[in-house]
Formats: sequence, structure tokens, C-alpha cells
Amino acid sequence: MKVIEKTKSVCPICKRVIDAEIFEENGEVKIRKTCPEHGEFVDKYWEDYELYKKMMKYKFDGPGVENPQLPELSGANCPFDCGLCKLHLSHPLLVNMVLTNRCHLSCWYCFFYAKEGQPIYEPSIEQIEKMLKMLRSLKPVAPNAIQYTGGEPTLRKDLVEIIQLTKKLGFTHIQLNTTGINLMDKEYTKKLKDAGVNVLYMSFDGVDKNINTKNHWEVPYILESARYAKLGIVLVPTVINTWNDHELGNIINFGLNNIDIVRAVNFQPVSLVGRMPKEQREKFRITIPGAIKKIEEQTNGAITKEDWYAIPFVGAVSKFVEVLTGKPTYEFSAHPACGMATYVFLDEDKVIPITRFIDVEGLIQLLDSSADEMSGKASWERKLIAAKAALQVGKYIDKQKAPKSINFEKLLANILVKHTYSALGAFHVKTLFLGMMHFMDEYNYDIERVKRCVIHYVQPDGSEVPFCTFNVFPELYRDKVQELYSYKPEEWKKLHPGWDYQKDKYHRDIEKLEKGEAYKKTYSNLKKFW
Amino acid sequence: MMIVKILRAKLKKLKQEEFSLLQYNLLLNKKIFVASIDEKGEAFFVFLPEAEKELKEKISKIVEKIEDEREENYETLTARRFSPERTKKAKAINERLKLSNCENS
Repeated sequence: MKVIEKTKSVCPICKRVIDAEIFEENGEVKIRKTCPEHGEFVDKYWEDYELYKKMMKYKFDGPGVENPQLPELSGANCPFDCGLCKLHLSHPLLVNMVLTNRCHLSCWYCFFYAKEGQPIYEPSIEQIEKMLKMLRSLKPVAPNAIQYTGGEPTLRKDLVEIIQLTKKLGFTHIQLNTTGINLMDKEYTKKLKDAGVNVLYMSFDGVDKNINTKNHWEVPYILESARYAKLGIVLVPTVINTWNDHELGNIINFGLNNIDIVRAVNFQPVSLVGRMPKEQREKFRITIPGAIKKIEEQTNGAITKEDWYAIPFVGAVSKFVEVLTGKPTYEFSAHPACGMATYVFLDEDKVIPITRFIDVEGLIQLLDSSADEMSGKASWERKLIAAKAALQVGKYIDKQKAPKSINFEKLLANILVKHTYSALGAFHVKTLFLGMMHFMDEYNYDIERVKRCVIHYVQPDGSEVPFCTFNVFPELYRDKVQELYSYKPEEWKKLHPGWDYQKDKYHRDIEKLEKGEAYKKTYSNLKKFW
Repeated sequence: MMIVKILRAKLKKLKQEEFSLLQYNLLLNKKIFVASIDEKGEAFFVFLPEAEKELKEKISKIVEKIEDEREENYETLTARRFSPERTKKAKAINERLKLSNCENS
């Protein structure tokens, strides 16, 4: 047993902030903490110590937020002084905004939607505008990416108007976190796309209908709508050990079968919210390296653990752009344990991860050293150094192994020199981005991670709260604020004559959906890529 | 219009394990919006008047001094979070903490 780091966590029972140790045991990384009242808690933190060591090299502190919304708070008791406070170490890269707590589904495990007779939370368009403007005023870097979530955001009749407003206020990336069910309507999907939605962030827990009970039957029709509207989709599987961990390869395979419209698969190893006995935690717990290992097994080695890198690995790209332009830019300063990613390319029927033909570590080193070289130089010198770096990009690409259909040298050089959303967008068109994002829970909570969180929630009281604070302590942030800004059911009914709770609900006709051409086309004869 | 109370107090020095527990339990009350306590005992609370009794009872044994107590309109309080005014104040803090790389901003 070897202690790797000392950190702070919380007691899962009484929630007090307590000391914690991250340690290695039998090749795994674990977290241990002892509450003076409730005793010791040990949980899995990461399944692979060697990978952890490698990725922790890339950890860095971001610039934080210069003008946090709650500068008066001390931050001494992270995560209870949140909103943001001055001690946060990253600026937000993506901000979630809950548009409604109404939902057309009633999933048994979800605690996020309004049950019958409960208050309705739905910020007004004026409140939304205020929140968006506040986000755009953040310094040194204002977020340009927002995710609208719920409940089910498509239940709002003014969603198109909200999207248009968001675009107008300077957000360049708008994603919609949705079941996708209302997007079976092609014209509605097109309206959303035309208004400015960039991507659908859609739950997809497996190809098997017994696993993906949420939207298995609807997915084929959603894909059709997305194709019609030319709106990309990110598949978002929650990964639960012993439940759908055998489906990971199949999900990627499904994404590759629909690579014309599926841009990414973003796996989310389960966050065990709420109190849970140790045996159950051990049964369901899976972390990023565990999911990556299963993908390696289930893809017959087509995608291995060597193909994945932690999010802050790309920190040198931001550094390069920041020094070159002389302006603060987006920094991927999330904690390495929070997320990993890779890209895979399809070369006819062959799946090629990016690492097989690009020396990514060498390329990142080039950017890092070029940024150091540019530092303190005049603008024209910086441009010269950047151009020299762009010319060297070719050295890091093995053209023999690279997919033939894409000119990578040009593509990467464009990203470095133009560093625009469209240059980056071109990279995504013929690739499948694979991501892993592990949100924490009370058992594996690490304050060093939450301080670096780059995915936040914004609320109408002007607070902005990191994802794992918002969702692990809903009683302190989400519920409290939403209650303050909610309508009682009778108030809601008065404002929306004719509205009825049951009218919001979706009723599935499985037989009809299974008979449809799109369903048969999508699930029959899926090509197997491994 | 909703009126909130703001209270700044000096508390006895406690271990983080102790004051974080107090803070969490105070915040469980939906009428207490902010309960910030640090390792030096500097405390800052924002709450609805209905929660005053509970708050003061819970901190009564550890209060050394009430430093400031006032009322404010809730909307005025939250408006500050949306206002650029917060920038100046926080910038100085961030400079002190060397968290900022704002030279180009």
C-alpha cells in the first residue's frame, strides 16, 4: 500500500469535510477517509495505477475565474462555499442550464424531474438572458459552450427562441441534453438546428433493448431526423458495472455504423448517488480505466488503453494558442482523473485510433516547446515560430498508417494556425470522438478534483456551481435555488391554461416503432468493425 | 420583495471537520442561503429572517463577536452577482492569490 496524495473529501453520512488519502493497492488507486463519527470509508478511485501515474503528469492549475459570482465567500470549506468562490482553479468550459424540471419520461432512478403535484421549475426568458450575459462576462475566459438540460428541455415551447437568444449573445456551441424523443419530429429538429443547436447530447445506454429502455425504439427515428436536419449527435452511455459494461464495444460499433451523424460517444462511468451499502458499491462501481479495459477486450484490441489520454493532456494546445494570439483562451485544466478521450477514424472498414498514426505525445511536446519559445516575443516573431511549428507537424504523422481519405497535415496545421471552431469542426467530420467522463459521488469525492471542474451549472440566483457539487449535494444548491424560483402546480396551471401533468408524458407504441423502416434499417445488419 | 439578513461574525477557532459539519447543517435549512466559515473563525451568513433564531441558536456557543448585521433586499444581493461590479473586488483577490493570468484580458 502506497499513499500517492493527500486530499480532502466528505463523510458520506454526515457530509463534514475530512482528510482523505489517495493510495495504491494491488495496482489499483483507492481513496480512504475516516470520519470521527462514522468511521472509515474506502472506495475505488481508478482501476489502473500505472495509467494514473502517466496521466497525472498532465495535471495543471487553470487560470480560475477572476470575477467569481461570490467573491465574498472564503472557499475554506469547498464544496460548501460554492457559487463560484475565488478558489476555483478552472474557468468553465461548458455550462449546464436547467430549462425545466418537467419531463416526458418518469425513469425510476431519476431524481431530477418534477413528480405529479411538485413545483415546476422553469426559468423565464428574462432570467435565462441574465444568466447567459453573466456567463459571457466571466474573465479571463467567458464560456462559449452551453448545454441546455432538464427535465426534458424540448418540453419548452420557447426553446427555439432561447437557442436564438443564446447564439445572439455569443455562444458558439449549444448542445441539447435530451432523450431525443421529441426529435423524432424532423421539422422540429431542423428548426432547432437552424436556430443554432450544434449537437444533441443524447442518452444511449446500450444497443440491446433490454438495456436501453429509455430510447431504444426511438433512436432510429431520431437518427433520421438528425440526418435530415444535419445535426450531429453525441451518444451518452452511463456505464454501470454488471449491468451494461458488456455493451461498451457494441455502443462504439453502433456509433461507427452511424458515423455520418454520430460525432461522439461520451461514456459516463456511474456516479453512485445516495447512500449505498459497500457490497452494492463494489458491484456497480466502475471507473475510467475499468471501462477502457472493457472496451479493449470488447473491440478485440482495436481500441486499447494506450489510445486514451486525460483531458489536460491537450493543455499545451491552449498554451500555444494563448501565447500566439496574446489572448486568454480555453484551458482544459480538469483533473486528469475526471476525463479521458481519444479519436478513432474509419478507413473504409478499418478502425484506426489517432495514436496509431500520430505521435500525439511528440506533437504536444512540439506545441509546448514552441509556446515557451514564443513567450515574451513580438507578435511577428510569435507568428514565425508558430508557422515553423505548423511546418513540422508532418513529422509527427505516419502517412503510411493514416487513413487515406483525410489530409491530416493540412487539418492539424489549420487548427494550429486558424484555431477556429470551424477548423476544429473539420476534424470531427470524419472521426468518432470517444470520451470518458467520471462524475464523482460522496464515496470517491476528491476536493482537488472538484476545484478543477470545468463543467458547471448556472442558476437564476446568479450562482455557478461545478457539476459534482451541484449533483452530489443537490440539497444545498439545486433544490434550494430551484424551489425559490419555482411555481406551485396551481400557479403553473393558471399561467398555462389547459396544461396537465399527464399531457407532458410520452406513451410509447413499441409495436408500431419496431415495424418502422428506420428501426429495421438501424438495428438489422449492423456492420461489425471487430 | 424578499428581505434577507446578512450577518458577519467572528467565531471561535474550530477544526475544519467541526466547522464544515456546522456549515453543512446550517445550509440544510432552505432559508439559509449562505453559511461561510473559515479556519480563522470568520463567518458570513445570508438568510431569511425566519431562519434567524435557528442560526443564532446553532452558533451561540461559539460566537465571539457579531461584527455586522443588516438587512438587504434579496434582489439587490443577487443583482451584484450579475453586475460587472464584482469584477474589481475579485480581481484584487485573485491577484493576491496569484490565480490570475489576466494580463491580456
